Amino acid sequence: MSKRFLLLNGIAIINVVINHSIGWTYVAMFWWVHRYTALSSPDFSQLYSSTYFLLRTLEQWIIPSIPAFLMVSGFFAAFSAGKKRALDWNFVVSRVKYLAIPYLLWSTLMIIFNALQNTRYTLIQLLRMYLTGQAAEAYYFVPLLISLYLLSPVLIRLVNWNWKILLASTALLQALTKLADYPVIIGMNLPLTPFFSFINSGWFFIGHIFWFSFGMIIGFRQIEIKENFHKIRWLLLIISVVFFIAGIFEWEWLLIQSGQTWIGPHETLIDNLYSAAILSAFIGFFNIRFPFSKKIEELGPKSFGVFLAHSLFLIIAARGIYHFFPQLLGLPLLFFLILVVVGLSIPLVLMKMTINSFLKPIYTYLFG
Amino acid sequence: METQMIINNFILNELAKGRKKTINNDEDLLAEGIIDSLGILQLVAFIEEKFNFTVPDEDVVIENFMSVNALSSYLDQKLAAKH
Repeated sequence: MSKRFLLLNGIAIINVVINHSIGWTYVAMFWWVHRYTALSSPDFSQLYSSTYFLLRTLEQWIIPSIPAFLMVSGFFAAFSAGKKRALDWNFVVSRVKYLAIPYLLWSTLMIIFNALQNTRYTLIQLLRMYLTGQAAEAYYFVPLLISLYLLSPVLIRLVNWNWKILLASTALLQALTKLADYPVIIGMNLPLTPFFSFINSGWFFIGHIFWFSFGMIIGFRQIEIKENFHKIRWLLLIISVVFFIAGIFEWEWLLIQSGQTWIGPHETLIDNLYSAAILSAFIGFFNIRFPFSKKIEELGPKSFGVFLAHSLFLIIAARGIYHFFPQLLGLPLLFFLILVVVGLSIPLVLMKMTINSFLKPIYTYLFG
Repeated sequence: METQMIINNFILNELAKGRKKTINNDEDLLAEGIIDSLGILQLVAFIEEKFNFTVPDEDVVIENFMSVNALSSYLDQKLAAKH
């Protein structure tokens, strides 16, 4: 099953790039309308169009990407603990080092890129950006993962003490956190709304701790879990489909309830249930080969490098099209496909060039 | 000896990504940061392909993958049992 996680990581990184490309396509459809029509922006006349629903469906489908990365990381922490079931701090320090250095470097590049376009930051803003991963939309994941690795020695002890209680309590904690996000999503002005918003910050581990714990428990009890999930694999798949559809309707309902024309992305409780079901189904169907599995597995180990680098190239591509080929913005699906190709291929080419050049000794500090 | 060399070369050329110029066969691959989480999974995939042998899930434990020596002795044992 361990090899299966290479495939899962490969699928997850493709989905992350697709997700952010969808984000830029929404920008083109609603906020850059003036570049290809006589209308002024923002204009939401393309909301509820067939293209919108196609992108929304795709966006819903790929929600389990970050949960998948966290689950694989938890699995690896369990692997590293070994039969003695205790984590060595050397391992934690080493993981943090190889996550933090490339992250700081790419965050700095993003900040410089924004500064070149006359965005100015105060020292406090800069500090906050580095600590909470705000330099790019995807970067919250790195401080999140680092905090989970720092917590991993404690989580391993809890697994040893009682893995069922750990699984249930992290699931409950995460579910309660997601429930607290609903007032934030629909813009309810409650006294606790700022607190609810804070605990649902992407970089904050409380809202994601279940995925890491789940991965750890899979690591320690993989044979038992694999067999149990295999027995109920079809049920897990049906549950995944139900929550997938429910998630699409839920988001439209939340949009209506908010009274807004548009609300930013949030991972809801239904989304989490969908992620849990589909990831469990993925384990349950461990003997099924997917098309292009080999190629996707090869992408898995490069996922962190692609993750860090794709944001910058998506911004450059999207803004380049905005300035030089604005007609393309009016063809959202083509624009989306261009971004996916750019977001995946340029980081991969850069990584290949680096590993085959005199820069090889610093590869790991650039791409992890 | 040959198993050790094959594993050492693969780790150095494919997984270490320039982190090390040489790898001591006794070095702790994870604690030293020579390979990462996905590196272990790549190593499993490589072994299965190179030695035409499926690594059972229960054998994917750090004790078997901690160092080049640990992995080669695990492999020698498994391959001897296979033949």
